[in-house]
Amino acid sequence: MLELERLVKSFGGVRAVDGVSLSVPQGELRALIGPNGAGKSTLFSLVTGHLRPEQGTISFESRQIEQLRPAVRARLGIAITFQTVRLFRGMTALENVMVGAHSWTQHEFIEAALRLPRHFREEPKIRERARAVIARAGLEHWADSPAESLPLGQQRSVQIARALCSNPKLLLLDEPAAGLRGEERRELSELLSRLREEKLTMLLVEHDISFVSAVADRVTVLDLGHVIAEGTPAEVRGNEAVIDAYLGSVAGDGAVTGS
Amino acid sequence: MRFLRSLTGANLPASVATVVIGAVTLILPMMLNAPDLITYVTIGLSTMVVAGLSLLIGFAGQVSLGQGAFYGFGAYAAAIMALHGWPPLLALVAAVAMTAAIAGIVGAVLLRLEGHALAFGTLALQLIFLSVLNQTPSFTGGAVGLTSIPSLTIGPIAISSYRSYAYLVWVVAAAVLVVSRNITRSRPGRGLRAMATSPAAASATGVNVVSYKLRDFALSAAFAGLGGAIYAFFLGYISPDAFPVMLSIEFLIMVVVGGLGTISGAYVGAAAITIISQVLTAIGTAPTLPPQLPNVLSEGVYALLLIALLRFVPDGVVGLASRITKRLLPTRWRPVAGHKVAPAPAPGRVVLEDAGSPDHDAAAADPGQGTSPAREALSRPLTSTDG
Repeated sequence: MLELERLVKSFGGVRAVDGVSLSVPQGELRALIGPNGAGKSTLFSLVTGHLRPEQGTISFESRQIEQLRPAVRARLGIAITFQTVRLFRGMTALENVMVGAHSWTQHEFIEAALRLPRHFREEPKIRERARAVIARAGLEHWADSPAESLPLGQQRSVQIARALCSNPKLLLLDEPAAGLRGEERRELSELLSRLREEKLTMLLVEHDISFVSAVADRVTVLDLGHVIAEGTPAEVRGNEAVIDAYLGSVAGDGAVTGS
Repeated sequence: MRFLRSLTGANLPASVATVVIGAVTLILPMMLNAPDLITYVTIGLSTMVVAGLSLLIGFAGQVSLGQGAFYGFGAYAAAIMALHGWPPLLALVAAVAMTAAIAGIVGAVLLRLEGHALAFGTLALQLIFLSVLNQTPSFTGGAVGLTSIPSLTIGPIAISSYRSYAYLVWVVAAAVLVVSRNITRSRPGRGLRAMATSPAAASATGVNVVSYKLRDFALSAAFAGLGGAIYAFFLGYISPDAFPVMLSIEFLIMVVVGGLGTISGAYVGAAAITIISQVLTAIGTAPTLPPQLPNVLSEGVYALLLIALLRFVPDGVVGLASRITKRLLPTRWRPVAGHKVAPAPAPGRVVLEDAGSPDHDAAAADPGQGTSPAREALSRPLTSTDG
C-alpha cells in the first residue's frame, strides 16, 4: 500500500535520509524506530508531504505521491497525527474531530451561509461520524470539553480521532506516546491495537522500542539515515546492529528499555 | 422559553439578550431625531463591516488593516454606477460583487503574507486606494468627491428618509450577522477556526487553507463593500475624507471590543465605538478648544482602549458578559454545550495548553508553522510591547 524507494533528503550536506526503501502492505502496523538523529522525523515528513525528497519515489496505492502537497495527500486517504499535539483552540474535542471530515465532504461558504440543502445533508453525517470515532477513541466523556483543556493523553486521542474521522486508508503517527506515562500509555497502546485489528494500515514513528513491541506487526530500524534492520519486534530486539546503534548513541537515554 | 432556546440554538441569557437588543433596535428609529438616526445608521453599517472582519480576524486569524478601503471601494463603485444611470439597487449589488472580486484578486497576492506583514500589506492597500481617488478627479471627483448620488429604490419603494434607511440597515445588518453565524457553525467555519490555530495541521486534516483564506477575505470585503455602498446612497455624497486610515483602525477596535471569535460581538463593538467616537467629537469640538483636539482625543482613547482590552478583557464585551452570566445564573439555565462553554473537566489531573511541547525534535515536521491563535496574531502587530 505504501512503498518508499531509495529516498534521499539532506540538510546542508548531511544526508538525514540516505537511500531508504521500505514497503508497508495493506493492514499492517509498521513501526519506524531509531535513536535520536536517525532520520525518523525527516522520513515521516517526506511521507506526509511537508518535505520533498531529492531522490527516490513514494507510492501510495500504486500512485506516485512524492511531489503532492500535504492537503492533496490527505484527500487521497493519508491522515497524520503530529508529535506536538496540534488541536484547534477555541473548539471542543468533538468539533476538532469534525474538522477531520473535510476530506469527504464538500459544502462550502455559500452553502453554509445560506443553509442550502447540501449543508443539511452533510452536517448530520459529519456529526454522526465524529461521534462514532470519539467513542472508538474512548473520548465520550470529553466530547464537549474545550480541546485545549484536556489532559495530554486525551489530547493525543483527539488527534487520532480527528485523523480517523477522515476515513483514512493510511494513518501516520509521529511519536504518539511521547510524554505519556503509565495509564495513558496503556490506553494509547490499546487504541492502536484495536485499530490494527480493524486492519487499518499504520506507520508509527517511535523512539521507544518497548512501546513499539506491544503494538507493531513489523519494525524498521533507522540509524544515520539508513535502514539497519527490519523484522518482527522480537527479531529486531535481538539484532546486534540495533543494540549497537541504540547503545552507541543514547547510552544514558534509556530508550531501549523504555522511559 | 424552550422554544426560544431551540430557535437560537444558544443558551437562555444569550437568547434573551438577542430578543431584547432586537426589540430595542427595532423601536429606536421611531424615537430618534435626525442626528441620532445618522448615528444609528452608522452603527448598522459598521456592524456589517465588523461582522466580516470578525470572520477574518476572530475565526481565520488573518488581520486586515485595510477594511476601510473595501468600505470606500463599495461606496465609490455604487456611487459611480448610480451616477451613470444604473438603477440604484443594481448598482448596490454590482458594487458588492465588485468589491468581493477586487478582494479576490488582491488577496491572491496579499494573502501570501502573514501576521505583521499582512496587516501592513492591507494598510498599504488603503493608502493606495486613497491616493488613486485623489489622482482620478475626472472619474471619482478627486479630493472633492462625488455629490448628488441618488437615493436607493427597492422596486416601488423609495428609501429616502433617515428613518427608512434606519430600517433598511437594520434588516441588512441582521442578515449579515445570520449569514456570518451560519458560516461559523458549519464545515467551512470549523475549517477557518482550525486554520487560525495551525495552518499546517489544518491542511494536513484536509482543509484547503489557501482557498479558505481567499474566500474568507473576499467575503469580509463583500460585507465591507455592502456597508460602504449603502453609506453612499444614505449620505448622497462621498469624498476621500470619509475613508481615512483611522476608519480601518476603528473597525479593528470594534472587533476587539465586541470580542474575537464571536459574531454578536460585531454589533456590540460597532455600537460601543460609534457612540464613544460621537461623545469624543462632542467633547473635542466644544468652543475655545484647539481644533486638533478631536483627532488627538479619538486616537489616544482608541489606543488606550485597545491595549486595555487585549490586556484585561481579551475575549471582549460578549465574552465578558457570558462569563458574568455563567457565574450568576443557576446551573439549569447555563448553556448546555457549545464552543464558548467550558464544562468542568472530569476528575483527574489537568494539563495546561502546551503540555505537548516538551518533546525533543518537535518542530522538525514543519518548521516555521507555529500555532498562532487570532488574539496573538492581533496583539503582535498592534501593541508590540512584547514583540
